[in-house]
Amino acid sequence: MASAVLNLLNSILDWLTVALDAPSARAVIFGVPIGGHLVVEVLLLVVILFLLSQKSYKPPKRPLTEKEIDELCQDWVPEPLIPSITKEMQSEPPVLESAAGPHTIINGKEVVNFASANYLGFIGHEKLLDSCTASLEKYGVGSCGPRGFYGTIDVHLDCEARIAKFLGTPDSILYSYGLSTLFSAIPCFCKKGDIVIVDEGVHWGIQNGLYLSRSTIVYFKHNDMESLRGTLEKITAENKRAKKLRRYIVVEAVYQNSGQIALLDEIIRLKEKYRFRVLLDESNSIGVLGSSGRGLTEHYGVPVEKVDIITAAMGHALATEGGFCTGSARVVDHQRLSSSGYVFSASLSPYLASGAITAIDVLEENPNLISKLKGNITVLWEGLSDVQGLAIASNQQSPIVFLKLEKSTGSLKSDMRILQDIADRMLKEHSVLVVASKRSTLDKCRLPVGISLFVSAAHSESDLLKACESLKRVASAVLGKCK
Amino acid sequence: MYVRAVPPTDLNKNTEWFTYPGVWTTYILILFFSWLTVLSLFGCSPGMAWSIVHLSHFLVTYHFFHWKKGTPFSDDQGIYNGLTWWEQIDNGKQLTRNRKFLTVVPVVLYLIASHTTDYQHPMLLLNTLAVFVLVVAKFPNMHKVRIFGINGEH
Repeated sequence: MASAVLNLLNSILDWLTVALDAPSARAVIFGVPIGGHLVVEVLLLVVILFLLSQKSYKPPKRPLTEKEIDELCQDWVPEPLIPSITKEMQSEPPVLESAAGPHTIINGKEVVNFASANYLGFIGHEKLLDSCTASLEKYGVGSCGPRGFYGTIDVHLDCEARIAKFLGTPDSILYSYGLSTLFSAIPCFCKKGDIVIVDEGVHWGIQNGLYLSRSTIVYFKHNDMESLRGTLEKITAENKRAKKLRRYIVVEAVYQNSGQIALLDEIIRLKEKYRFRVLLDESNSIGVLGSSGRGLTEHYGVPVEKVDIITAAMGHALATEGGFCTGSARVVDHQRLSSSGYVFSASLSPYLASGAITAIDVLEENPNLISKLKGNITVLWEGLSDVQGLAIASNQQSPIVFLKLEKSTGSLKSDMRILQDIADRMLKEHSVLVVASKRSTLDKCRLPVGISLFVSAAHSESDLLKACESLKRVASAVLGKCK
Repeated sequence: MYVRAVPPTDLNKNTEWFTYPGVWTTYILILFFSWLTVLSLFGCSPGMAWSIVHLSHFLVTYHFFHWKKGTPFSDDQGIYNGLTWWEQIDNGKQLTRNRKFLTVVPVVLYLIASHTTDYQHPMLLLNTLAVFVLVVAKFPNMHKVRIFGINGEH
């Protein structure tokens, strides 16, 4: 086959040379006999001249033909302005009529609140309120300017220093909103083409941060270290270019979607072996894990320097709002000029920053808050360990006690309906506010849905027992009926 | 009423450098000096050296102008992700001076290379193939067209 093609080409070439050579004179230019070449050369020159004489133009956008327009019009089915109302849409979420403390008022009735991540019971804490009021009287609600543009107030710097001192890091950086901490901090470090290995159970804030970063995202099985190791091995072995790229592992300390606790010691071992950087979201573990509330690193006795980037929202245990990111001085400094949320958003309100400072102060003065919280978690965990039809999926030390259905119905929607039914009845019949998982259409998390109870140090033992008792009754009523 | 300002020439960092003065001269000089380098390194005939320059010019420009898509810069929100460098220059305007220059260069190189190798067999074929591919890829009618789906996937 190949030789046949070659023969053909040779004969064509021979014919070409003969055809070109035949009529021409034996002209010689620069020592090279021209022969029939002149024809080719003149031809090419003409082509060049023709090209040069062409006018430049912008390729026009071809207008649609009449027929195409008709077709498009025919195909178009207008989406209704208002989607058809489903049953889930009609259910009205409970509205709080007082602060979201351990007890709150819904529809004029006092209920026990297990729906707020008020882990240390700081919501409505007198000292926090006092410091917020004092700050509000001194600074107002803030300058509405970004930090680099008249937005920095001394309490911001104090708060950054206080957080860094509390966690034992060189510096930290404040963000104006807990969720947007991740939207900004992740794209600030992970760029297009970088490899990010993520737990599949991370919450939507992290998912969105990763989406915005446009990096290559690889998921590993939820809290499964064997899967993480396999993924790291595969990535480093398969991709020869991986060594030249920035590589990150992104995990949550306490997973909001499942209540699991990340196995930090193993993750650190793997990241050092495969040379990755770790980004840890401590939103649900600051003030909760560790003997003095310093989070997951203290919980595992891992030096805080080993985790490259730590982010956290202050809206949970610290009971203010905003978020922070901490790490080495270089990690923090990098964000001050290249993190969009820090550079372009209005700074955190000063009273929230002073609230956070006071919250950390109070936490350091009262280490018994953490032991109280741990006691409460144990009580609730044990009380809920034998609920009919529901199984605890969360870690024994996690402040989020997460119950999933023992037997899933097979579809996410009907699971959610059952869980929502349980939550509704808990509120209506037993005055206990719990939340069922809600998944937005944007949320890529595929973990099973469930009911989460956010334990607080301010819950009394009777609150916890009441929650256990009522959940047991409602679950057996709802799930027993299903069978 | 509003101000009618002249639109900026090129906002795409990836192609903006080609609008700088002296780019053409530099381009030609690079080709000439690479010919000298090839000539001195391999000790081959001038015609062979021109063919090598022409063919390597083909390989390099084909890869960087017509094969690789997108830009190395992240601040353009990925609007150029599906476009090769050739399709990006001059914001997609056809037959501009720069485009004409870039089209003429391989043709002239081809002329020199074939003339100096005396239109002899293996070089002529390779040179012709190279110039054919490069010139076809530069046709205005080939703008954003992927014949046979070559290099079509994102």
